Amino acid sequence: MRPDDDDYRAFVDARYSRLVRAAVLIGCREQDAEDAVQDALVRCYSAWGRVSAADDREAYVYRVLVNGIVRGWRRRWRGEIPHGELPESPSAADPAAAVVVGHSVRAALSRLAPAQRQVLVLRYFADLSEAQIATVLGIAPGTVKSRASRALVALSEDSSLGDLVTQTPRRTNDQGE
Amino acid sequence: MIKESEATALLRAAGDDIHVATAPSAELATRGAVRRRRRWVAAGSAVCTAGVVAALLPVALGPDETGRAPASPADPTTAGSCVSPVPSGLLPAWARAGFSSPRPRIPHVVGDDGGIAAILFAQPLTSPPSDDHNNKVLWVSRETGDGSPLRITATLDDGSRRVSRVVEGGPGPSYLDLPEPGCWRLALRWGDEEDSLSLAYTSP
Repeated sequence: MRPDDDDYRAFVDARYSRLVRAAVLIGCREQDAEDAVQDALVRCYSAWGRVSAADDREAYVYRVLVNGIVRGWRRRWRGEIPHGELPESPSAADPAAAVVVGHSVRAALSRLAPAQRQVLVLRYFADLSEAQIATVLGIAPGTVKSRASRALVALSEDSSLGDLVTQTPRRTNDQGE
Repeated sequence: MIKESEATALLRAAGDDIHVATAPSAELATRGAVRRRRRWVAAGSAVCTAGVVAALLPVALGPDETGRAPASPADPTTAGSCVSPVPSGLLPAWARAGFSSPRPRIPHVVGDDGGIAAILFAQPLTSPPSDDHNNKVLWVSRETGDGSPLRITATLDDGSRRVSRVVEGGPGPSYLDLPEPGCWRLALRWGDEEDSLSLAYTSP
């Protein structure tokens, strides 16, 4: 195994689930999200030297992922890797409540403009900085800021989220997936 | 108005609802390695085809129309020579892995000591990089590397400029951009190995 394989695999192990979830929240269908993420990660492996050398490889990987999603690349990857292990379970204590929150938030996201949705997910789910998002989307940091602000306003005006905001506990930033 | 912290909490909660399988990191690395190899070989095949056309075209036009005699594809490419474009030649046996043809002919330059080959997938090499192709160079070493980086020190032939480049992971695919046109002398180090060769860069 090449030394950068260790680095690559460690990165994938740490980021895979968050990337898949981000892909869904950005707008990928759930059944397509793993394909999109796997495709992005395979592409990144091809250039892992450059990815590792990049100032911000997190942004690099998200850029590859978002570009793949935005291009509308929906070709079913026939090399999808089957899993012998069960998927990890959702962590919510009340599965029904979690499902309601999930559906409501994703429905609210679907009502946002795609550009606002991308910024919102990258900023508040993927925890990327405004500068990182600017790199991922190829836009100015100021545009990131204004899109995020407008997206928050739009979410605030979405009546379906009114009760959820007060019910959803705030959590600390978890980088240790 | 939803606060940023509340947006984070909502999105995290929505994310928790999404089932994700265990990361197939080893399999993805394997797939990535296969893809990388295929892409470079495919690029090489395309250039091989272009090279055949390029080699035949001057013959069809004749030396009077091109203003120069066509380079023979059989000309050996030596490490010290600094020709552009580099003519196609039969790859050394140790550099043929991944090519579909058992006797691949492709533009390449072998190091002075015969320890490494620079396979040129796009010609000519240009500085600055051309809009229509990159300076793709596949480095193949005679001996299997240990994964340590390939360090390149490139010196312009008149000694006026020297730059360094690193190919992470050792000999392999790279985009070798150099700062100005000319004949560049490359000192190559990877692991315990050393070699050298020259590459010509032209203006696009």
